[in-house]
Amino acid sequence: MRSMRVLFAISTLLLVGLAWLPEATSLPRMSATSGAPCTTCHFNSDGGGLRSEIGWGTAQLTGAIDHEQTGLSVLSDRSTNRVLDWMAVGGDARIQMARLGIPRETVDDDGETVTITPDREIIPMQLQPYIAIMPHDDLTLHGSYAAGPSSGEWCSTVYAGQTCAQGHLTWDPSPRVPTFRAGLFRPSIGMRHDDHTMLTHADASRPRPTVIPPNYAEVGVEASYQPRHWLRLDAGAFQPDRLADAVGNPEISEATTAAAYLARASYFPRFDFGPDKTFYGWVGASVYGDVDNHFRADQTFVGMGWLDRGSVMFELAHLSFGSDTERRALNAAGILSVEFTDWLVAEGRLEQATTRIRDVDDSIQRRAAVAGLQFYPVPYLKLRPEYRITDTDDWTMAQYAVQLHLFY
Amino acid sequence: MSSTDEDPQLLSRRAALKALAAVSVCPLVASCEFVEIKDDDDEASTTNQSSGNDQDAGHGTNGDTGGDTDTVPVDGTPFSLDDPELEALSEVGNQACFDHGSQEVILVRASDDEIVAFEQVCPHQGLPMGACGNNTQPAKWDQDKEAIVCQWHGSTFNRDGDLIEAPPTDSSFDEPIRVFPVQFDPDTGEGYVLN
Repeated sequence: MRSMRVLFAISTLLLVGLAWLPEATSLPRMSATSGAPCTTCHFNSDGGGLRSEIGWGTAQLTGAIDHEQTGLSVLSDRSTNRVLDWMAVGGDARIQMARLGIPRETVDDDGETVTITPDREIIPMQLQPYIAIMPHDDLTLHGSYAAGPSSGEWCSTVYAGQTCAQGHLTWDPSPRVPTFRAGLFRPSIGMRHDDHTMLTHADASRPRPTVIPPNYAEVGVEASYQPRHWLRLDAGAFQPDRLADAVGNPEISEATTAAAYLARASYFPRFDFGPDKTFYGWVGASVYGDVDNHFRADQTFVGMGWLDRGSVMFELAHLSFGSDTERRALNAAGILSVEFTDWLVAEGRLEQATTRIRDVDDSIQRRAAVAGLQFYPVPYLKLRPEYRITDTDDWTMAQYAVQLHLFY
Repeated sequence: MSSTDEDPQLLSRRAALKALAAVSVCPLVASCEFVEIKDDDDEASTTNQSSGNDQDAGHGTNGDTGGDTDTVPVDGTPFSLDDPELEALSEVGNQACFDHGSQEVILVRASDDEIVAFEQVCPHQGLPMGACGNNTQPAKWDQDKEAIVCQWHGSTFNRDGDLIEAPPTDSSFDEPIRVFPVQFDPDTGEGYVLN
């Protein structure tokens, strides 16, 4: 009991006292360490969002203190997130504490140059309910809505290209044939990181570098085919309205023939070296862009996971902004996660984004080093304290941040 | 997963508690947080901010130093209204896109004797504000407010770069835009954008 009280005290301290950080949601760590596809735990074939019964059930068991120990056993009585045989619901809610914005210099009344550090703020950053309706064994209608809690608006996107409402129909008749998705959803670009601070999809020349943000979605269709457990192929076509906004080039969506394409291939090797020594690999590449070549993102990614131990992942992305905007970005990220136990994971990552502008000698760079924890004090609650150093050509800032994530 | 296996979990909990305790201490170590502004152009940056304050007081540095353009600033990029690409600046309220070193900036003819230079990327969502390239939604100068209005989401910045109106869709946004100091001689139509 004493250890339980200590855990409660630390949880409370983390909840109330820590003062930190940036946005992050689904990372492909779970898939990498288990060797299971994202759809094992999520309705979305790319991970993130509404959890399947397996994902929901796993979350129910993941916590330093279970519901019975907290006296809330009523919460653990449920065995599924389906409210009806044909309907499942869920949601994500996040609050973060961090220094938002960029530091700058100004001159005070005495003529002295002073550095202004962004204030620490607590903001609600995500309030997103999900619903999945399954009218038939082969069909799932999935919808979500990202409200704008920080602005008090029902819909308030922060980054260009984001959308509040998303919805798509998935047709998954058999493992032997491709799965089709149609509607408004995020194309399967590279590895999915629902984290606006990640530099993989960044343009370092922007003050806010994110180009493809979380909750980016387009109207389109996508086919995913996994003929063997070690191979997955994705291909899709989309109407690039939000891509035009995200990239900042209206020409992307102006032409009557405007369209975006996606292709991705992933290979999942498995290495068995005996009991408790199974490693799961993930190697792949994707390309996403518009047919008129105003924007294109080429990505390669490789990862290796060890069940219940951790994972390491690397991703390389090359973004070209076409001949009109004359910019190219080469971004790299390395992510290491170590599982102490299922409810406590340490994570670190190093990232670099480099943008080159045609006819300009010097490139524009942005780097980040992040170390943090993912701590689940009770099921469906996650705390993410982080220490982050961001380095740009103009400034360097180190800060603590923390994110409180309620999910179901 | 170990959550169903009591003994191993108790062991791991002890190890995890130590890690948690270490992390809990971190917020107390305020020195772990720091900010550094890189200062390769420090002096010019200071001049920039001073100019902004002067303008606030109604004594625009642009006009005051207009006659100094015989002295070539070390960090300046020269411009001339004779340049066909800048001829729009002949009229008050108009703007033009200008290459200042590796950066594109928006030059705005704020008054007869003043030109203001804004960074051309809106800090709200990183979208282009200037009439550069094929941007079909260049920002507009509001002469009454003496402010530039981003046409993408409505962020409005005054001549010092301070945000005076947040986008209606994102009232939490509160970041300034960079303003570059300008030396401008209205008599010759020539000037410099400084760092």
